[in-house]
Parts: sequence; structure tokens; C-alpha cells
Amino acid sequence: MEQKNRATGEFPLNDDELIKLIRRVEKGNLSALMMLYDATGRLLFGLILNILGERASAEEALLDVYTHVWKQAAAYDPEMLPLEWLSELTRNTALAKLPWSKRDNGKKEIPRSAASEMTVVPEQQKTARSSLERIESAQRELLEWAYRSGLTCSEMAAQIGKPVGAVKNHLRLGLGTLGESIHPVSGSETGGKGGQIEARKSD
Amino acid sequence: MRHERATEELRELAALYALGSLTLQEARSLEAHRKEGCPACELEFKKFRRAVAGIGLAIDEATPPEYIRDLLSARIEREPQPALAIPAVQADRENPAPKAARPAPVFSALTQSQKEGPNMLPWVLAATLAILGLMAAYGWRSASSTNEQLKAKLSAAQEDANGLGTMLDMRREKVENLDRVLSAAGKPGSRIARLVLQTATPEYSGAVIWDTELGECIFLGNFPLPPEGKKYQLWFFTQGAKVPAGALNVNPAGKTYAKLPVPREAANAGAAVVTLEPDNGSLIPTSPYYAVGRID
Repeated sequence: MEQKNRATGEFPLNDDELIKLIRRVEKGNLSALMMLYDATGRLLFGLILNILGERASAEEALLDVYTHVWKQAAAYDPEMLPLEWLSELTRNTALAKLPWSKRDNGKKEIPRSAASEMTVVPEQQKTARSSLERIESAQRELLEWAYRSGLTCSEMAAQIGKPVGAVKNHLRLGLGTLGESIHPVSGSETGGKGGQIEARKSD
Repeated sequence: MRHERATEELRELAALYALGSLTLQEARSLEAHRKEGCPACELEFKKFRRAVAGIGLAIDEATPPEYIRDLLSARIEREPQPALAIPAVQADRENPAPKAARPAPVFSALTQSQKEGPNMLPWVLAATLAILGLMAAYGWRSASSTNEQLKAKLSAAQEDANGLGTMLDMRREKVENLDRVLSAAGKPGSRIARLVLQTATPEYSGAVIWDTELGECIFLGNFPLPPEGKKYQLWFFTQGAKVPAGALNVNPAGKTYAKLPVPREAANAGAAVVTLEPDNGSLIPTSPYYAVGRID
């Protein structure tokens, strides 16, 4: 059957629906993989494009990501939300393709314009955006650079001429603020998202 | 060594490890520690790992070219299916030697035994029976595994059909909703209110299309999920009354679509208002107006 909602996010899916799709992919269901692509393709392509900055290699990386999902759906970690798992997998795939010469732009910000669409699980996407905004700007700049480049603290410190300790401190504080803001109760694992994830593990 | 609780130093290590910003040596050292099983460090690592993944969700989306979907489909068709592969069965199928090769020695042995004398015959017959038994067992096992595979494929196909059916229902419902909106908006007597959020930064967040001929309205909105125990409720305000029109449900994507009857008392309403009310609804607005629109 012709699929018209190709990677448009036209039908947003919630976490449980995404998990069901991943489980069906695990069983070798190609249609489930294509539905997963339709639902999440735009988000993951945006992420890859942001890291690689070049469409041709971004397209190849996107294919690699979903091929990996096809082969390794069984490796889905139920302690993460499906989009978090996909986001992690996508970042790793993109960084593996990123040439070292393109890892030095510390000034570039991650684009998250208020007007842009959020189509996969909009609540999670909105929370992620507002949480990033809460981080102090110097910490956020470094954090986004580290995320996008995969550079070590020493490499970043050398490039911007600051002590390694200061870079580490900024990253830790920034990531701490982000974690508390995105998953406020995950530390206690007693409820909220953490609780939901615990409950899914027993499914 | 297991840590009683996470120190600042451990948190920093876990955060930088999750971000991939440790040197190889530092990362290996932490990995070795993780293998020892330290719950305090593991908890910190998981927390930071999810935070890092969250950064990716904040990035603007981008539409991949249409052909990527076709390329993906073609690429996957060439990949082995991850779950249906049954190694033991595959191995048997790839090495059909027992089936093809074993009979030959049996018959040559039989021929040999006839030449040598009758004493060998029982052994040859026993061997033949044993081999025939093995072949039968192999055949049964092969048929059984094929059956299992077909069952798995059937189950996957059924799930696939269910999934497609759900998608089709969703699309059908969407088309029907759009038809209703177009029909209501296109009627000469229809009235429309555009709803504006009553927040520090007012913005349009929905609309009410009132089909005066049918005495019903269609509500379209884009609202965040309400707090637990609360629901959005639509009101029609006339000169002297605030008429409740019904509850509004928000789907996980933050979209609201509702077709509601317009009460007769609301016939001369000049405004449509949305408030947050208790789950079971309210007869009068009990909270500040969430969104307001003049009915034109």
C-alpha cells in the first residue's frame, strides 16, 4: 500500500506506540520499520544534519541508523524512552561519520527555532527545548559543541584556550541542569517518566 | 570498589562519559569500574545518558528526501531478518549432507554383506533402520521448524495488517473531520471564533466553527495536556449567561478536535471561552479564562 505520510510526522505516535513498533521491527516486520521511519525520520534527519552539516552524508547516515534499528531492535534499552534510544543511536552514527576537520566550530548553536515543527512526541520535544534554554549560556554553548563534535574535554579546552577543569565543570553543571529539568524524578525512580520506564521493563 | 553514594567527582565522570567527552584512558577506567557493578555510578550514568539523548530531541527537524524511504526499503529487503533467523535450523538446512550422503554407504554396505555371508545382515539392517530413523527425525524436525517459521511470518503479517488498519482508521477519521470542518465553515450562516491564549504572550491556539443550521460546533485546538484531574471545557458567553458546551480532550500530540452540540441558551453568544475545570466538568467557570475568542 502506498504510504503518503513519508517521514512527515503527520501521525505523531506516543511512547507506547513507538515501543510496539520497535518490538515488531525486532520480529522482522518491515512495515513496522517503515512506520517508525515515517514517524521519526524528520527528527533524526534534523539531528544528523546538525552534526554533519552536509546533506549527502546525512542521508547515508540516516539509512545507517534505520538499518541498525532493523538489525539491533532487540538491543532497545527499556530504561530509555524510544526517542532517547533513537537519538543516542543517531548521534553515535553521525559522529562516526564526522571528519575531525569539522569538529572545531564551537560557536555554532543547535537550531531550535520556536516556530519549527515538533512532530514525533511534541511534549518530549518541547520539554527538551525548554530544558536546554534553562542552562546558563556559556555552559549551553560548550554542551552543544560537545554534543555535536564528540570532542574530549582536553581537545575542547585546547581549542578555546581554557583550563580542562573549567570545561569539565561547565559540561557537568550544564548536563546536570538539563537532566534535572528533563527528568526531574528520574534520580529517585519512584514515579514520573522514571516510573513509567520501570513499569515498561516488566511488560 | 563500590561507592556508597555518588560524589561530585563521580557525577562529573559519569556526565562526561555519557557525553563521550572523556579521553580513551579515562573512559576505559570508568568502564572497568562499571563492569565491577557499582549501583551509585550506574544510576548517575543512566541519568546523564538520558539527558544527553534529550539534547537531540531539541534540534529542529528536517525533511529527508522522498527517495531515502525507497532506498531504506530496498536496503532492508537485502538484510537478513533479525528475529526469524533460527540458527540451528539454518545450519541443518545449509548442511543437507546426512540426507543425501548417508544412504549411499548403507547400500554399499548391504552389497558388501551379501558377498561376505549372512552374519552381517542383522547389523546392516539395524544400521539401515537407524539411518532411516535419523532421516525421519530430520524430516520431522525440518517440517516442524518450517511450520514454526510460517507461523511466525503469519503472526508478523497479522500484526502488520493490524497496524496498517489502525493507520487507515486514523486517516479515515482525519478525512472525515476535515470534511466536517469544510462543510461547517462553508455554510452561509456559520459563525467562527478564533481563540487567543490568555497568557503573557497571546497567540492563536484554536477555533470554534459553529454550524447554526445543525446547532452544533466543531472545536479545533492546539493545547498542552491538562494537569492531572483537570479538563479543558468550552463555554459560550451571552449577554447574561455563561453556557457550558462540553469537555475537550487533548490527544498526546497536543491536538484537540471535538464536535459538540450548541445549547439553545447560547443562541446569541458573542464569545467562546476555554477554561480548565475539574475532570467531571463544571456548571460555572471556576478558573481564569485559558483562551478566548469573539464569535463573528
